[in-house]
Amino acid sequence: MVPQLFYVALAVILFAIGALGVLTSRNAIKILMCIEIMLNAANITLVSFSVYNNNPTGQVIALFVITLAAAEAGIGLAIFMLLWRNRGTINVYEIADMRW
Amino acid sequence: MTTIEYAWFIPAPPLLAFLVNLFSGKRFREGGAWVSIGTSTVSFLMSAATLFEVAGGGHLEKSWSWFSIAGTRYELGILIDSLSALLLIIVSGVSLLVLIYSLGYMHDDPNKYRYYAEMSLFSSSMLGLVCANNLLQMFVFWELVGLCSYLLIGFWYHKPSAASAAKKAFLVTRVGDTLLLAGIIILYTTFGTFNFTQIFERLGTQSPGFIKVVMLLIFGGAVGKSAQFPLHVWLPDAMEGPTSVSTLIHSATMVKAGVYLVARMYPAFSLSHDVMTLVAYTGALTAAMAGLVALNHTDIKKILAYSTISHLGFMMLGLGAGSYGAGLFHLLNHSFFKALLFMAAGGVIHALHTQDIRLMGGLTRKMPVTAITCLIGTLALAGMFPFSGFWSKDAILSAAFEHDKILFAIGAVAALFSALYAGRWFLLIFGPTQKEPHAKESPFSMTLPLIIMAIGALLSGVLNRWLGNPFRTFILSSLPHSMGEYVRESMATHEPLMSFVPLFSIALSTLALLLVFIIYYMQMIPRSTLKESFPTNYLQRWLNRGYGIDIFYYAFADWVGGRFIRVLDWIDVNIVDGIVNGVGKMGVFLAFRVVDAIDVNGVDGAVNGIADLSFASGERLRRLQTGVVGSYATAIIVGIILLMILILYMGSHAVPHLYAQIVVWKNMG
Repeated sequence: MVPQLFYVALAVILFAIGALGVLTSRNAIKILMCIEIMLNAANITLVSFSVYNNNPTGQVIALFVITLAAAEAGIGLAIFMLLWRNRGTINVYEIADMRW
Repeated sequence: MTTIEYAWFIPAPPLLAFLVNLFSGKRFREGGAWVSIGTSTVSFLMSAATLFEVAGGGHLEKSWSWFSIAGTRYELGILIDSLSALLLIIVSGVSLLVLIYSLGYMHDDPNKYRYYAEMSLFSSSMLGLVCANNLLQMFVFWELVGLCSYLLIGFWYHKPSAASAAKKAFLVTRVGDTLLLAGIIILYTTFGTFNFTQIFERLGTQSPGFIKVVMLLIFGGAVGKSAQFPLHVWLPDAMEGPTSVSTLIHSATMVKAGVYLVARMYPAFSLSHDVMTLVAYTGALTAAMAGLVALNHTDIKKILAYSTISHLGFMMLGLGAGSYGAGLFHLLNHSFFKALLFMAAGGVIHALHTQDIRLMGGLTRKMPVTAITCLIGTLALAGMFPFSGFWSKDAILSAAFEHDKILFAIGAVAALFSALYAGRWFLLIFGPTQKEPHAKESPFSMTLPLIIMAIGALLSGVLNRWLGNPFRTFILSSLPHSMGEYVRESMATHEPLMSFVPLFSIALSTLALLLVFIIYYMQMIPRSTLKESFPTNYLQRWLNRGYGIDIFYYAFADWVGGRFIRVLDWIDVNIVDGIVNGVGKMGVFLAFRVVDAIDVNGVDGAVNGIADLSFASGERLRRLQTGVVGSYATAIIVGIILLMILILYMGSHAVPHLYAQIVVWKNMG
């Protein structure tokens, strides 16, 4: 059986990629996609631990996370669409109204 | 059913009448008079039943717990013996008759409801007073009686003289009340009880000096209430009230309370020979002095007032001389004839609208019922044989004669005055001189009580004699048996009529009445010569002022009070005001200097400081809020990394566990 560390390592790598993407991207859609990558990294961790510990709870939570991610993507994309319509940009650095 | 068991209820009906009339008397016919009369009838019937049962050997003492303070229980009790039964019947009977009389007398008064309410309260208080079995309860009713007399004397309070007479009655009796209260407190602190019987049982063990002091204090209360010298000054002024009130005060309630107190405390009084002597001499002197004043007065009511003082003196003399029965017999008889005379005087005043007897005369034709009843009352007052006043007065004089010859002499002089002023009073009002052609007889409601009282005044003495002196046996049953040897009972009846004192007494009265008859009826000596032959002007003025005792009191009050007031004024201006001003100034200083400084620097400083702090910190911290998504994300990720490092070092077992699995996997090949 493949050691769990490999899965965890994969998850770490994916999470790091996602996080880097979130930090560096300006395009909101890109950020959303990177967040999806991070969520999936977390899902991999959950499922792997679930399998190795013979506890189905982790898989159930992973299912919830997937559902959440879908909803989040739906809401997020709707927001971006409205932003595009009203401001003509989805560059998050330009949309900085909620500041001091 | 035995009524005596329910004797505690006797004061209740008039009390009820008081409450009813006070709040809704205006709505009833005659201002609630019938409510008062009805309730008084109930009390009277119950008193009568109680009297018969007591006469048949009934006796009742009962106590209920009243309230308790700090573990001490105070009792509410009732004592019905022959003494209280006698007073009950007198009080309820006289107040009933006076209320009936008031139907006519107070008919035109707009404030009748107040009158009937207060009269009911008055008789209720007095009934409660005579029922009490302990000093505390008695004192409560004692003060209530005082309050009612204040209210009723000042019934026409819009008259300044009535208002001041009421105040005077209240204040003068208060002097006595204070002494009485002091006596009660001493008795209570010594014996721990207010109960009469218990006090009598325990008082004998005390030193003579103690007994003397306490009994003197208690006698002080009796002096105030019963208007004995020198606290008699309030009673003549009390004539300012309605005449019916005077009747009640004089023949049943207020002034009889003092005599009752002495009678009730008789076993205690008899322990000290000195106090008894003092009681007797006070009574005798009061009787003589007041008699002399009555002889000189010209006011129809004030003559009677001084006569009451004089006869209360007789009662005190009787009690003090050791003749318990005679003193109380006189109390009973005096109630008859004095109530009668007062009510008759009220009728006369009503008819003539004047109180000066010099302006009266010849009323016999105009007011025959009043005149005839008055004649009976006058003869009783004068102590003529065989009217009631004779028997009791004679009994008192006999007791005084046996006891102390000086007392007898003073008493005889007082009796002489009694006969003189009584005759003068009657002859000037009803005598031959025709002065008032417009007078007419009082209504039936006012003459009926006169007739009843006249029957009493006429018969009570003779009947008692004829029946073998049942009054004496009756009244003596209220004294403890051990007192038998002290009480010198000499009630006219068990000595022959043909002995010195009765004959002397008869001679005295006859002579006096004859003299009065000659002067005022036959007018053989013109009154003007009488006036000129006597240094009357000055003397009369002195006597009319009641020996100037009032003036002395006023001067004394003025002198002492004036100085006292000046001292108080000085204290007020310099010390009290100084303290007040000082406090004020200190307050101002504190307010303006200290508090201001604390407020500006401390309180405001703290408030402003906190505001400034949050303002400044907010100004700096808001810079963090860049609005740039990247910077927020950076912060989150940096935070997570820091958290992970923290977990690694702070001892999560997850990481070592994962390494351990790798080792296992390697070993498996």
